[in-house]
Amino acid sequence: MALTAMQKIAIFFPRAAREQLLGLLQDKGSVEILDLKETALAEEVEIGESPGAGDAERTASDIKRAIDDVSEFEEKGGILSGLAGSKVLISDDDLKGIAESFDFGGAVKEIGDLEARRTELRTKRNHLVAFIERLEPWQDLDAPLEDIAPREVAGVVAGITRRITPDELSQALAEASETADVDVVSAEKQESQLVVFYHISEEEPVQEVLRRSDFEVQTFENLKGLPRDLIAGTRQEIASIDHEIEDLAAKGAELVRHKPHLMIAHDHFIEEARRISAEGLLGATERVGVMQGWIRAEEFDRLSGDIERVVDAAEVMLIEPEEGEEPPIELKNKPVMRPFEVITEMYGMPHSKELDPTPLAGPFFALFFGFCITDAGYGIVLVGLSLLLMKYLQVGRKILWLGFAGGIMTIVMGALTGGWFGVTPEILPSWLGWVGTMRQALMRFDPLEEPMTMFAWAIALGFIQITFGLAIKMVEDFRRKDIMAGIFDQITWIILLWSALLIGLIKMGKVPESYMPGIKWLAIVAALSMIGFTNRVSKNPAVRMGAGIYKLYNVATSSLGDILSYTRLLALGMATGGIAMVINVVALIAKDIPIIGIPAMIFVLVAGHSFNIAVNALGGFVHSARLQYVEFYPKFFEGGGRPFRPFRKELRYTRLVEKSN
Amino acid sequence: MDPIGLAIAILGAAVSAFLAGTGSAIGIATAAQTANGVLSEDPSKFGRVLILVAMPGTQGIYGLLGTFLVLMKLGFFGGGSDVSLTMWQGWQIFFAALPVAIAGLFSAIHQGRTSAAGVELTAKRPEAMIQGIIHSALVETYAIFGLLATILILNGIQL
Repeated sequence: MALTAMQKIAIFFPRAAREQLLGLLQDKGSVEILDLKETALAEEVEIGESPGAGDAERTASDIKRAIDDVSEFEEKGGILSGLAGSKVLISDDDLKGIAESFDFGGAVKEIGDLEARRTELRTKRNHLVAFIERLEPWQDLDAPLEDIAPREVAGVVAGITRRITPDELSQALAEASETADVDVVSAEKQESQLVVFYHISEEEPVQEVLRRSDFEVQTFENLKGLPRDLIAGTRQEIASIDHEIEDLAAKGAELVRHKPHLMIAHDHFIEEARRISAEGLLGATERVGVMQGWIRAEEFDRLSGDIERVVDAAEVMLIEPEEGEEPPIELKNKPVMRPFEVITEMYGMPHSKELDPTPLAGPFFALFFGFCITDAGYGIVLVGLSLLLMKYLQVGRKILWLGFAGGIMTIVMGALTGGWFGVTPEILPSWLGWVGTMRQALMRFDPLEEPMTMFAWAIALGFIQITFGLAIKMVEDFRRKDIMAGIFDQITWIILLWSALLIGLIKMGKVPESYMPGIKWLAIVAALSMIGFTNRVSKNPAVRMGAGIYKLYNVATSSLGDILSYTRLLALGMATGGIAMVINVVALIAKDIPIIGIPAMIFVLVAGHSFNIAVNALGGFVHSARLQYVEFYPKFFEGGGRPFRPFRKELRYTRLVEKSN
Repeated sequence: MDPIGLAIAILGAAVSAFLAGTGSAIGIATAAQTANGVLSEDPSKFGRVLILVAMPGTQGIYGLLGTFLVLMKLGFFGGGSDVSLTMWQGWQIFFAALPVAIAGLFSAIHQGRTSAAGVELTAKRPEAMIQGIIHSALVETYAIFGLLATILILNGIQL
């Protein structure tokens, strides 16, 4: 519910110790360095420069290209190893040592040359393939290509016709000329390759016929010999290129041995670049360097001790933020709620005087996720899968924990609505009869038979979450001593919301008629106070009324939209259950296929349900998040905070470990 | 008993799957083409963009569900084979299938465009992928409401 307390600090240090200090800060990773140019000190000190940051960055990006290139030659591992990522585990000292001793320049050049040659060969190969494709239709031509050219007395034209057959063309030519003759090289359904001969004196009429027949003239400039010989020669050339590409691949596979070292060198140079560019954020006088930054309040003592011990004559002190300066924001929650921080972080950080909405949204998120799937069997799979992946993967734990929490709620919702892999009692074989009994015992209602009950649940959740959002805002208003806002903006809204619900329930006969007058009056009083007190500044009654009526209109329409939006939970939940049933029906049909029936059934069940889980887990995640973002957060949450970004190592390919002996 | 009633109801079941499915196919194609362009530059983004590309696929699933719900209403599963519908009941079921069919068709096409833009967003700023997904989901909302309308109408029809 809270934000990490931040303190602004200034560090003074001997000018010469600049690099040492930055190295230490980077290791500790607990200070966000402020750009001194943007502070009041800017005019009094000389701002540091960051020479060479660009060089280090370029080196790192060259190395990265080499890593990408060489990765193509690597043997691919399984999916799990791909997910886990293949980071090099290394100690800090070794990282520096290897990066400085390893001849990365040589390896980068070797890999770069190899890749350049490979690209060149591939381009050449593509050209040759295209050349063959062009000549192939002409391979039955028995004349060398240099002969397809005008002579002293004869015209010789090669070309393609598509619209008309060779016979039709000969006929057309015979009508226009006495000497023209057509040699059919090949005739396919789509197009025919022809060579046309004629006496030079008939050039014009022949060309005219060819034009009319859409005869596509082909020229073979600079080509000599029979087409089939040319094709055979080119094929040989391609074979030798393929051979060389294979050799290169073998050589590339050998170069893969450089990859771990390149990864280490990359991270070393990236960190160097980051450290050098951080120098540009610092300032200095003739002898003394200065920097300002933010630190988590709880880490101040430890860090100032570390700095003063490592950097001689350094001095760390707390300073006051400048007028209007906001501290950076870091969310701080109990471990159970921490994974839900992802949801808030994606939406945007709260500002420094706001509460962190994560623990307020988290339980709803998990519940909605469960609602979107409502299948206990799927829930068990999700829980199991999340636990399994958490055990094997280093990354993505927060998301996996969300999957776990959502999975638990899915089991609950699934049990209540009788969803167990979409099975219905009729399709169960007799030895699985107990599943049907258990399902029946846990089930409260079947959404496919009573969708209106599910509908009511979804609407009820909407009422609860929106009221909750308004109530949070009300408490915030009271805490800020803005009693008027709490009463006239939030309480009136809550009353209107619930009186609309109650009036609806009375009309449906679910609530006794006798409450009607009381509720009506309450609603009227709430509406009137909203009209009168939405604008609490103006003295002009017309302005106040205008603002109030507009607010009332907005409250009515947006509440209706907000609450109906929660009905998506019903539709998504039924979609999961319905598709699960479809899969089972198809599997039963597959079972009746002779011989392969049972394997086919198992395949349909496994593939179908896996697909359904994946699609609906994604849908459940996205739509549960949306309900927080669009319907819930705007009721009380402003956001606009700047996330805390401490200056630290952000290694891409390596993970630092304690030095092992 | 009027065979035309049953035929019209089955037309509803068919339309639900084929219109929503067509929409999904178009939507995914749009997003996938953009994704292929992105992958030609950076194949490592496949996992990230795949989710965005797959998103317009849900409408087809909703459409299939619509078909299933209509068939269930008609008693095709579970042995109730003595279906007898008047022509007007057939039309009722046909109209009930329209919201999921048509909302699915159009929302999937537009969700495909939104997803394609999301793919481009992810290409430039990989960390913004989730925002792209949420925007794509905003479009999908109306297919969900179409499905909801179909469910509610089907539930209300008396056979």
